[in-house]
Amino acid sequence: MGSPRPRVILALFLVAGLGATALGLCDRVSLRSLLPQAPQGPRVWGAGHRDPQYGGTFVFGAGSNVRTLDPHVAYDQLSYTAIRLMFDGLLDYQDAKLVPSIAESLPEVSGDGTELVFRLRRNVRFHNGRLLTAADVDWSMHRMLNPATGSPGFPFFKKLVGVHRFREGTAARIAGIEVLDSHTIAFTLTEADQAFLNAMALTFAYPLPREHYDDRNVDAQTQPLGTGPFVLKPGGWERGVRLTFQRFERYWRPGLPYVDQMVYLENLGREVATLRFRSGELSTTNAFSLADYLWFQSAKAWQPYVAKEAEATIWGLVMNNEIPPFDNVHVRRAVAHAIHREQWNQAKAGQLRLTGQPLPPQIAGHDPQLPHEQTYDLALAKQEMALAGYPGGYPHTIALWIGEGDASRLYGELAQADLARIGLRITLKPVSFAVYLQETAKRGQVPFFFSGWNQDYPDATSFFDVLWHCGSISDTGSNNTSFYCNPELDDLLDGARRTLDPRQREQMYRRASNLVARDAPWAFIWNSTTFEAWQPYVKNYRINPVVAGDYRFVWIDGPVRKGDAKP
Amino acid sequence: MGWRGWRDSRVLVGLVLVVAVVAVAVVGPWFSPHAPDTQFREQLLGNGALGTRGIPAGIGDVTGHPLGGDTLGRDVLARLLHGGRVSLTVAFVGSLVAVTLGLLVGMYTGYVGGAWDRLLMRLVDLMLSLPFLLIAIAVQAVVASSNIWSLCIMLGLLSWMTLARIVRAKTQQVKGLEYVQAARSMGASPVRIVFTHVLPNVLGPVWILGTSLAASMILAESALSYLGLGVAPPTPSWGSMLREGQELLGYAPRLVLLPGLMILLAVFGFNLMGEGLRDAQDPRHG
Repeated sequence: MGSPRPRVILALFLVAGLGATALGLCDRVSLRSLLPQAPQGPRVWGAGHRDPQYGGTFVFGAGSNVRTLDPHVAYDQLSYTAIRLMFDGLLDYQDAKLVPSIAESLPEVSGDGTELVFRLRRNVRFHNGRLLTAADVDWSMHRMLNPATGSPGFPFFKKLVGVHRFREGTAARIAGIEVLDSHTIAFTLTEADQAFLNAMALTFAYPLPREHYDDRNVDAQTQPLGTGPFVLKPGGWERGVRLTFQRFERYWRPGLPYVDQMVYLENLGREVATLRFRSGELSTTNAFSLADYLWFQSAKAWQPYVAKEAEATIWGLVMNNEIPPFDNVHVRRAVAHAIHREQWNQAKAGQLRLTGQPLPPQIAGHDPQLPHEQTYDLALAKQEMALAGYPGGYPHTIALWIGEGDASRLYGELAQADLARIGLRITLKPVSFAVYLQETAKRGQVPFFFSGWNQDYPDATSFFDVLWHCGSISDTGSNNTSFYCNPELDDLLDGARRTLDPRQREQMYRRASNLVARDAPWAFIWNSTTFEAWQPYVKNYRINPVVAGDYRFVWIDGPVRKGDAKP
Repeated sequence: MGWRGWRDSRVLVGLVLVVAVVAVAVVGPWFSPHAPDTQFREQLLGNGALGTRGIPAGIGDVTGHPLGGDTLGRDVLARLLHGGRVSLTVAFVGSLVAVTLGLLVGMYTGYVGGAWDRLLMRLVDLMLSLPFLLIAIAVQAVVASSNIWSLCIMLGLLSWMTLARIVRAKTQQVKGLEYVQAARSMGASPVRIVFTHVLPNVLGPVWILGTSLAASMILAESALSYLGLGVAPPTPSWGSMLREGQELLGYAPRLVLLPGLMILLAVFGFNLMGEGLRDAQDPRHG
């Protein structure tokens, strides 16, 4: 057998080993000067037009896969991004404000807030060419609220008159939905509901053409048909890989959209996304590793083409209030005060906006001077452990469920170290996202987990009513995953939902914030930010603070040119 | 049989490497400057402030930590020293499980034969046709246990087949030798024959295969830990250190290069030893 001589192997091996060690040890100083310099700025440039240009392809991606293209069934960010390219709602968001879309204007609302009348535009066409009428909106609402459709949207529309009877099958129609004429539709509510208008902007309320979605040969999950600015190309969804859309020529907004083609890449890891973005293959990217995040923040040439935006989210540790030791409010408070938020932020290089209360700052009801704000206070945390009856620590280990990613593991290990100091021994249990979603929604199943919540719409109800209302608790599909139930809070929330005066409403939500921070079903830790970068040729893009990835009306300053320096 | 193993320098170099790595894992933790999971948070990345030359403040701060800190401010030297225990425990226990199982199955099927032989050998064929690492990942993902012993057993259960085949062939060969026939005709029990006559004869290939198995176990553990399917954090292993460091590869390559180097040393040592032993036994080599 002709194996190489041992001495040669040994020499090669020693050189490799010493080289690696040397590189490893002197990484602080010299590695950068040893390696070829990567281009520091953009490599693909626009032509310099000031007026919007037509044509071109816009390419973007996401880290996981798109689950469905049925607007009434989708309930995740990635699916939303695709759906919003192909469908429109009666209302839409612009800079966190509700604006009319298919509706001509915001609806007329009766004095007691229970009746809303929408007038629709007369020039809105479905992709099959037919004009949209009020009957489409009516049929679509019934489709979405029919239990057979399997839409998770029902809770947003539960104040519609007659919706329960329709869902039970004792009424053929929802009494609270009435078509007044071909382009006018009225909704009647059992009581005023400040969240209803926001609900009408969710994808659950998007109108669909009956003739397409009633067809048995149509798979609603993969064969979308809407009124939006883009159409899915025939065979344009290679599942798990990419979706390709082309412009809809008869879109109702005159002159829109600008680009010919949209390509949405699925399952694009963030390191790969960054590399492909830097080489010019992607038009935009918004997921960065820690190192890339730091790099883009400091790279001068990129500064005109990056932006950071506060997201209306809340992240923290969720404690199941029905499972010991978290059935004891003192243990929960101890956890809330033991988390050293400043240091967590240091480990994340300052990406977090720290908090100690349920609502993010941009939502009315957040209180900058909250009396029971959860802050780091080790002495107080230890005192709470003593009050709970565990002055020397809790005798059992507790499993903390975390996600699979590097970030979850980092947070898990930070929590582990922080909680060890008040005598809580934590083991980390990494699980897949699907298992996590399923198990945390079950009663008595998961004691302690790491979680985040993204608003569905910019209002306090999108946090409180979903996450901490007794009514959101169920045995297998609970949205209230901390299983926290407090009748005092429920009264406050139900009252606030009916209240029309915004000042009074805000005061009520501030009280609710205080209550939840004090009872600590969660240890609230931070609100997230999104950081995005785009190529210099991408124009008319602004981060939409309510809906991520709103690329519908960008234009491309073509023809684009390649080159390391600005032309 | 001429046993020239000790004179082959590959065996010697391999042995030195293995002994060195084992010594690091066994003795190292006693000399470790810190506990492997203590987070020195004054060493963290810093509040968004970048240090000199674009390197985040904190990473690479070496005061009191000869090899610096990781993303959580933990001492890298301490984690390297402790990490070896996981990797080597898996290597030894995993190989032990595989070797034991392979020996038992091989000697049984080789000596007894019959229906069980045919059945077990088809099982061997079946399991050999499965891609090892893929199955290991699938099993770990389903079992979702982060316990080191279950990891060892799982890896052992997935890698006994080649050994069983070789032992079976060798057993059949030894079974036909005259002195074994003689022992049988004198009324020695099958168990006695297998353990006193067959076992010593098959131990040669077992040693060789066992050492290369240990190398592949280390790699498998690193791969699983790298994918987040190994032992539970914060227990360090060289594979999980690779994973944790990759995010900062551009800033602090030592976070990846040092555990990588340890894996390289260990795997290289075991492989060198295995190869040297094999060639020493091969009559075609002088």
